[in-house]
Amino acid sequence: MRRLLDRKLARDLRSHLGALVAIAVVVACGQAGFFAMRTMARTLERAQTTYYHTVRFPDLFATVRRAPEGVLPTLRAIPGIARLEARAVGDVVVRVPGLREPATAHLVGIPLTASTRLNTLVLRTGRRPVPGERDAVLVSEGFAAANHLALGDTLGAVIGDRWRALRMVGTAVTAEFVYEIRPGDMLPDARRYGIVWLDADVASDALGLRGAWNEVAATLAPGADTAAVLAALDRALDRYGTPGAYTRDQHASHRFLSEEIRQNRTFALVLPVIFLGVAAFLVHLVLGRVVAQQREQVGTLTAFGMPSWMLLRHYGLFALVPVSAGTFLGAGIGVWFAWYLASVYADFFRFPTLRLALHPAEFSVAVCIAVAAAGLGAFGALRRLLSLAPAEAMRPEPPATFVHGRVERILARWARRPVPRMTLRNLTHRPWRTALGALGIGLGAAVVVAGTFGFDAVRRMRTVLFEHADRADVTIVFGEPQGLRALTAAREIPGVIAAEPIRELGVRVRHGHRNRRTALVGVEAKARLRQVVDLHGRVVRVPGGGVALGATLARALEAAVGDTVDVEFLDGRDRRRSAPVVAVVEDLAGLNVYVTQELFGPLVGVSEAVSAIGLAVDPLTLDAVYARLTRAPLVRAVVVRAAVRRAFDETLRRNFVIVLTTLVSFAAALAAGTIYNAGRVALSERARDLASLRVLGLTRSEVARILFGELAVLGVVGVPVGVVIGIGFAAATVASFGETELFRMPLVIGWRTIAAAIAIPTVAGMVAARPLRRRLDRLDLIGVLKTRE
Amino acid sequence: MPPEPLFHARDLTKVYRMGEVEVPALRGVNLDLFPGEFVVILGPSGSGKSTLLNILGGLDAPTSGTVTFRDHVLTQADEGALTQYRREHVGFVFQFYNLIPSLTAVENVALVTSLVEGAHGHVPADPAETLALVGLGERLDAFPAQLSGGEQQRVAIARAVAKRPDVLLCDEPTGALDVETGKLVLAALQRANQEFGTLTVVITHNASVAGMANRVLRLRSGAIIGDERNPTPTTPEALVW
Ligand SMILES: Nc1ncnc2c1ncn2[C@@H]1O[C@H](COP(=O)(O)OP(=O)(O)OP(=O)(O)O)[C@@H](O)[C@H]1O
Ligand SMILES: [Mg+2]
Repeated sequence: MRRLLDRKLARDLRSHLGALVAIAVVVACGQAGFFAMRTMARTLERAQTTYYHTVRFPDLFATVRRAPEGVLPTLRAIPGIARLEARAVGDVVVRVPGLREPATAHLVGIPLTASTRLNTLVLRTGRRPVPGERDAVLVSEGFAAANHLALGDTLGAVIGDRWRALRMVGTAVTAEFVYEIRPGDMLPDARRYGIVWLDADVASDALGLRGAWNEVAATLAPGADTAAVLAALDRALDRYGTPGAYTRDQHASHRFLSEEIRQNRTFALVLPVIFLGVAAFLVHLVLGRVVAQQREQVGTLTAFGMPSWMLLRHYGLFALVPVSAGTFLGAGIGVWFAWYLASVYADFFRFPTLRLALHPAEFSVAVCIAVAAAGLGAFGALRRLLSLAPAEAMRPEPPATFVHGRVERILARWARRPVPRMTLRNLTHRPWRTALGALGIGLGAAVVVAGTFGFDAVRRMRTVLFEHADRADVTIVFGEPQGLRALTAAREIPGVIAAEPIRELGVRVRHGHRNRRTALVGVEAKARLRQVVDLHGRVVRVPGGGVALGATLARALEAAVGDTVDVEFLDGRDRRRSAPVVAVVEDLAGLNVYVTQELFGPLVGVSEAVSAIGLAVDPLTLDAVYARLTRAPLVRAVVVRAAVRRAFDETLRRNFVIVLTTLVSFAAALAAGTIYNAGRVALSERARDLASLRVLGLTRSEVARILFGELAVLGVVGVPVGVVIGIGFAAATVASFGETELFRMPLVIGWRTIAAAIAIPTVAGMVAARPLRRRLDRLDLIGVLKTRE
Repeated sequence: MPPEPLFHARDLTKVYRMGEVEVPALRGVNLDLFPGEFVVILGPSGSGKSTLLNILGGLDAPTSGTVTFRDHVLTQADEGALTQYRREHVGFVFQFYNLIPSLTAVENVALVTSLVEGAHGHVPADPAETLALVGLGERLDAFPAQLSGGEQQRVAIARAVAKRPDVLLCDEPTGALDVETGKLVLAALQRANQEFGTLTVVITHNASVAGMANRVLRLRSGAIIGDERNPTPTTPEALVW
């Protein structure tokens, strides 16, 4: 009997091949996403842990303007500090062979005699500079690769008033710059920002820090009280001008990396819920139909004494086969995808090695999810099967009984012709099934919106950033605030059409017991090249009479208009000022304090403090201007807007292609799988009606329109709902990931995203309907006349 | 001058191939059917009655031979032309009614009349009036599941006649019904035949139905073995079952 049943299973599976393949594909998408995301999270996390451990990534960090070597013993004596190292770091403008614009090098001094114990470098190619080799440098691997630098190539830079050629003798990576991004940038630009390690003495000279340091890092002793150590460090460093010591949580590279891991984990949870939910519904649909069709067989088998567990096993296997096939397929695709993603990640996150961390736990979890989905899907059908008395089961299922319900009143108004009425009655006859079918298709649209809205948001940020907030062709950033002389000098450079001062000072703002480190920005009302704009790029007027807080800062400080905040300057001279909050600005960066130019001087207590200069440059003279600026003293960075924007677009485009390809497959699988199975079941249930209609003289395409009309209604209802769900998901994402203290992500959903969300499920649905059309054309007209339903 | 036949069938054969085995269903049928006739086809099970009817209705094609309907050669028509033929000229009534369960009685009829509206000056009957004609004037808005078998079959007849077809093809229309209900259904058919002069072909296993026909065809093993005319057809009520 069991053998018989197994043969029946094989036959049942074969005759529902299309529907089962559709289920398997939907499951495979969810599982592939799950595997890829979980594996990526695990891979990154493991790489992070190992890397941090082997190079001794510090726990605490602090920067100062300048502190003497002599203070280090005091710092090392702070209880709870295990190891502490200081060094000189700073940005310089460098000329890179083959790169038109100037780049920024973050110089890091390394002692060549004594070995460092924290943040050790991992050499990738070449060698370290040897003591006394003053022009030899190590270059970060990403920067060298992006600029195709070979060992022996030189970078030109002004080091301590003199133009010097820095010879690259090796490349390296380090745990502090896994994510190598210029502070304040949204995306890395490996061609124009890199780390350059050089002899500590040379670095100190170059940065004007001979016998001094400006950055310190420490590890904590086991059981140390982090807050107490931070406070002690702050006290010790206060007079050297510090924004405050911080933990890994505030460390830029660590934060980006950890955030990426967190996002991978979150989406690894979300994806299976969507896909296996839809798969469960599809299993429910198909198995429900199979059980209904085989009701008489089941009744007969039960009457002959087949135990019900055997039947449950039979139909349970029917549900389990496509789901397991999908899980295996998904595992394969997911591992491949993780491998591919790892190669993409390797360009953004620089590890010594990024080896895929495959773990059996992923597979066990995936199998559990799959079994749960199959069980959920099979539950309804199997329960119905068991509750049937054999005698009842042996009779064919009574035909669907339609009665006059509430829907009739609507029909009387909206659908007068028989065919639309038929469609609407069929759909409302099983409202849950219709709703879930629509939802399955809609989720395809939702996935598109949720997956691509981020690009709309980032594109909006890009536009606001590069076209509204910052319109200077070139921005010169100084190491120390300058007087107005610097502005005059900039205006005299041939080719400079306009030069506007930018005033930004590092401050700590306090409100009650809350405080944040941020920048105080002096805003000139007549400024054209750099403006304060809101999330949508509209220029914001900063009122006089007090300070305006960025929205994120206001929230962080719990400060509102009318409150008074304390502004503390971080130059080590211990100055504080109180100022009333006169406005809260919905700006893009979110953590700034704005004040009018008139108030800036009095508040800061100096006559002038130009931290940067924005330039408008005649495009024909750009190269000459670049050359001048690369050799200008005091300039710490030269930012070329067009180049940054180009790099930004390039990164965005590359990621977009990957994301879009993935999403198109996901959305298509959801929509096509749902349409195909809903269509197959509808066709199977209504084959008799449709064949009867053909006998009565309806053409093939008229009959097809009836069936596809029903499916189209599912789509027409489902897709807008899906778009709304996608927008909801986007809003939730913005709420939980969008507002970091670096940038605020606006909730923007572009028309192209909406168009794709509509088009992808529609096209996928149409493709999935094609095999249905073939079946429909082959309907057996004579067969249906011989049998009762 | 004898009237023009509506159907003209010559040397019809039909062979079903089931793997190696060939099952002959029709072996050389020649037949002319005329407008206004009420034809009853009798014959044992498997004699080819349904096969013949389906070929006449454009649902199936013979293996060889020709069928013409007026000047249409059905045996050369493609799928589209056959659909058009069924739509405009044929009314079907089947043993199992084949109503659309999600449409009410009147909608089932209207579905078919709407198909022929405006086609070649065709003027279909009003669906509600046609249902009244078969005695269902009160049950217009009932769904098939709310009707008895006989009522459903009368809806099927109303559906078939409402479009004013040239031929009414009925395959065991009373097969699933009890005697009294069967008579009601046959009366409805006879009325349609007499009122509109529609050629009506009825397959039945019940030899007594032959009494109400004006022509009786007998089939055996795929061949016509009898073709009698009955000059005095009775009403269904008078039939002795
Ligand atoms: N689709 C088919 N495949 C194979 N053989 C068929 C098929 N349809 C009919 N036949 C065979 O053709 C012959 C004629 O069948 P047909 O249905 O015309 O008989 P019938 O006279 O209508 O019988 P009944 O009174 O039982 O309805 C039978 O032997 C039948 O087995
Ligand atoms: Mg038959």
